[in-house]
Amino acid sequence: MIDNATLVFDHWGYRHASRRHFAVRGLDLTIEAGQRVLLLGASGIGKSTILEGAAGLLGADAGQTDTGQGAPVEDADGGVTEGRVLVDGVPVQQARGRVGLVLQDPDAQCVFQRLGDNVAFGPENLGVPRDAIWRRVDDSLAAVGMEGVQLHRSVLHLSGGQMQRLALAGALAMRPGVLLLDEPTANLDPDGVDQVVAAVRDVLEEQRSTMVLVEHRAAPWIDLIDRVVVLGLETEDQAAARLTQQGMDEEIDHSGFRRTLVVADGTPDEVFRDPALDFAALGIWVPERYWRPGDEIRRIHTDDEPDYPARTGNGQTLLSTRDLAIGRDGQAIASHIDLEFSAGQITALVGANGAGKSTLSLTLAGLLEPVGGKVEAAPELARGARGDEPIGWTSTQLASRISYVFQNPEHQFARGSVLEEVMLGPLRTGVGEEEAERRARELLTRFRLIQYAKANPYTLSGGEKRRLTVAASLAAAPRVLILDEPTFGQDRRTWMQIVRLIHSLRGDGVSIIVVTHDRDLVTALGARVVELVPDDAAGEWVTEPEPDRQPQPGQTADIVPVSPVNTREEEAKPSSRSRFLASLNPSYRLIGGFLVALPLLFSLDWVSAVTALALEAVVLGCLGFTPWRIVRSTWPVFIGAPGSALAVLLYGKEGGDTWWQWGLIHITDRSAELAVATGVRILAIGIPAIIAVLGIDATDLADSFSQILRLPDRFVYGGLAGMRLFSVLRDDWAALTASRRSRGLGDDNKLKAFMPQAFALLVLSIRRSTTLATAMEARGFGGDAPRSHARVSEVHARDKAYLAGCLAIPVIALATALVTGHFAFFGGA
Amino acid sequence: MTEIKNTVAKANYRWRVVDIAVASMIGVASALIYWGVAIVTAGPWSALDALVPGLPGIINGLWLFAGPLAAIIVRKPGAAIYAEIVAGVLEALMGNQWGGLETFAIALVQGLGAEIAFAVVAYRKWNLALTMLSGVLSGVCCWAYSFVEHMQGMSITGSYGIVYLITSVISGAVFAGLLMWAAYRAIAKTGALDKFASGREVRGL
Repeated sequence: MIDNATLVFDHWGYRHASRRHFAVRGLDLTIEAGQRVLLLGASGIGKSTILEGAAGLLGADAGQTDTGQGAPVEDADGGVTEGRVLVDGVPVQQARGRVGLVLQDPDAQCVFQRLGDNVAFGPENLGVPRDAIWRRVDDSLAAVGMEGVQLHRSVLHLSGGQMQRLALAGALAMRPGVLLLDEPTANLDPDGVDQVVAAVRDVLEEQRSTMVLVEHRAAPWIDLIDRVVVLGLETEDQAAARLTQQGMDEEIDHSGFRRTLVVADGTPDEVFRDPALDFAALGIWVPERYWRPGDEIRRIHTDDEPDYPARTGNGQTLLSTRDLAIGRDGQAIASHIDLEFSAGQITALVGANGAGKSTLSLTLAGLLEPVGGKVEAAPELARGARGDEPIGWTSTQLASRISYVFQNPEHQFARGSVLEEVMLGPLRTGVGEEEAERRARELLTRFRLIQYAKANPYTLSGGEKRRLTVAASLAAAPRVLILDEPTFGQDRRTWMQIVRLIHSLRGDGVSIIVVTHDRDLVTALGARVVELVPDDAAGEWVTEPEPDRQPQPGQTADIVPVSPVNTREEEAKPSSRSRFLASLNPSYRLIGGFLVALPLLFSLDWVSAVTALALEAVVLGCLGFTPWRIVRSTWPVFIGAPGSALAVLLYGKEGGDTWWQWGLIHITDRSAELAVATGVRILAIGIPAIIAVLGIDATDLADSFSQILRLPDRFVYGGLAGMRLFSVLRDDWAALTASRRSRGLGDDNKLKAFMPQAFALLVLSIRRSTTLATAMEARGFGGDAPRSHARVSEVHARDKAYLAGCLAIPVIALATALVTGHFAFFGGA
Repeated sequence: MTEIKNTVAKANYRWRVVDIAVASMIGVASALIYWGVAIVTAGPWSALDALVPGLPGIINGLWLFAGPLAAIIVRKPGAAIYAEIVAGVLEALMGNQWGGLETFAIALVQGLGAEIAFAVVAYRKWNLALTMLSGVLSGVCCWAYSFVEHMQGMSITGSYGIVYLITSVISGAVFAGLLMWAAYRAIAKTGALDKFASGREVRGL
């Protein structure tokens, strides 16, 4: 089916609310239907802004966008739009679903827990009828090579490559005429890159969609591309367009910016062979066939480099493992590991996604308990610390010996300014204030970050943040430095900067361990390779011949066998232990829970409480809940109830004989009776309130809120999307805890450590949710047009019977209290 | 760029998708923190009660902050209620010692309290005093709900009720008010709120 569209930028521009300069301005560019365009340009030139604009995500709520010919319009985001973006002649905001966008971060594009629901989301937002939605879901999954996959499968167990293919399927299900890909493979391992490129190739073959791709590593894509566009800036003071940034600047200089220019436009052959263009300076990895001298990544060398090779180091072992078994939650994924790491050595830990590279590196770093055996620090490294095992060291002892640089720099930040961030390590490890500042300034100068000394670390750009985390780790003068994926998602310029930086550390006699997928990185550093190979797979680094590359003498890898990566089938999970409860509509379950509970609040007396509790026990028993199962499912109320009862006993309403009096405590006949009633009533209210909702799937609940309770979809599914990130946040919390231990902050008392860590979690969660909002809007979510629903939320007769049953319990209980004369409105006066 | 300065900034009550996403995320992150607090304070609660009856109210603010924080960041009508509801639903699905659905009900009441402070100025003013008022009102609602739900056995005008009210209010003002205003300023300085008027105001953009 061919349904491609033409994309036109008509003197288009956009200024983000937080920026003084327009990101893009006066852009005139026409992309004909069916063209496959690679968009290139320096960092900060506005490539992502262009894609967001083309996806119709900018300038929303700006009123009429098609009246003013180029007049600036401010939108609800505080940004300013100029000119127009047209899809087949229609302003993009009105061409709903005609443009599909796939973003860089696989995690941020998932809205639902179940795989199939994510693909259905786009068509739902376009109001596609239900039957047609599921046909589109099947077609789209087939198009990305995921046909036959279980639609209820949880996205939690997908690899990065699968997640990106899922995101692509989600975009395809909208049947877009234009496909926009914003660095879709930057965060993937080589296998994931191959999967995504192959999926896009198949889609383009079949659907002939128009495609615009932004990507630094152009090589895997080059055969799909028929047009390359290079962007530059026209400025007031320069005759020629400004093309690249200066020196270590992360972004191109916008001073005097007049408009965004197309400086080169043609077939890949024409553009990549254009001698006037410096692609390395643009941050591009040029495909091999267009290599010029210097484009190939070779072994690099830095000043003051020691004369022993990086692969071996100086032979003085700093850290070793003895019959080590690694794993999480006590389950070993690899055993009998014996490795040694010496000073001045660079080791690359490689292996497929999920093989356990991070598990091994965190164990080496003293952040994860070994399952068996030990990680042993050499006497030179362990001197002055508590024993020779890093996991047993205090946080400050660890920080000055072994440092861990996390993949996400924001897991690591702990201070409000760049300077304080780097001073933290020295200060925590007992260095004086003045010396710490001197050391920090020296490092910041060396890493070219000194101009940001007073800036908030979070406000730096991606490459700068990474340099800062390395600087901050080094400041505590560790002898072992472990870096997790240091080159992930970097363009060629920042890549080069980081690689040179890592290599230069050899001169300091540091043993460096990098966890990586990046072959160029290993080549450039001349690193020794340790590969984690699953039992059921062959190694990728050792067996694979590399005909195009000079095999280096001694290039062999140590193999660490690990257990196979889990790829099990998943059963659809029932939403309650009771088949009856599981068959009910989630909203009804919720309302039923309230119906049992709330009426009981009218009277505080032991008769109604005991009657209700007894009835509930009988009903739950009939539903298959044994008393033991009830207690296990609802144990928290069994902690809450006695506490409240005790408070009422001691300080409750008084009456009758006094049992005991001391200070404010006054136990009387009445307070004792009310205490019993309070305790039992909390159980009678809490138990059904927990069991009624326990196990409800959040997506089912949202569907029911939308369809049965008619709550607005924007808020229901916006809330649901936030909830899916809950598991991501739990992982974030674990990473924050580990990074604080690694940085010497882990010895603080729990209460003192809690607030800053909670703050870091909030910042991370807000960032994640803003990206999520973009991803949701890219699927057409948030407009006023009617949505359809892929899943039906059904109500049956049994749901109504259930509500009646729920209401009967408190009614009988309260009636019994009335009849027996125990009814006491709100506990009585 | 004079032509842009002429556009009049007006209070926009319509929620954008990013407003919804961030408010719900504040609810979710808060639920995670609430849940941790509930586990950690289960013991100290009784100890505090033994020390001075009603003193545990001083912990209550740690369950009240989602509403005020969401309100001052997102600045849309209903933000406090929405964030508290998301937190409450999530807590209900997880279960804690106050019983599944109870958290949902109390979240609604507390969110309502937090919302009132900003509603009375028609969502046009955002400052420390209002945020603290929001925390205080949320604390009052928390106190009132407690009396309906599990403290009917207490005399509302007795010493326990009064101490519990005072401690809840102080805790609300400090944890849900003062601390959240500081948290919002600090988050804004990281640039994470650049898409919000609240964030750009702090960064002077």
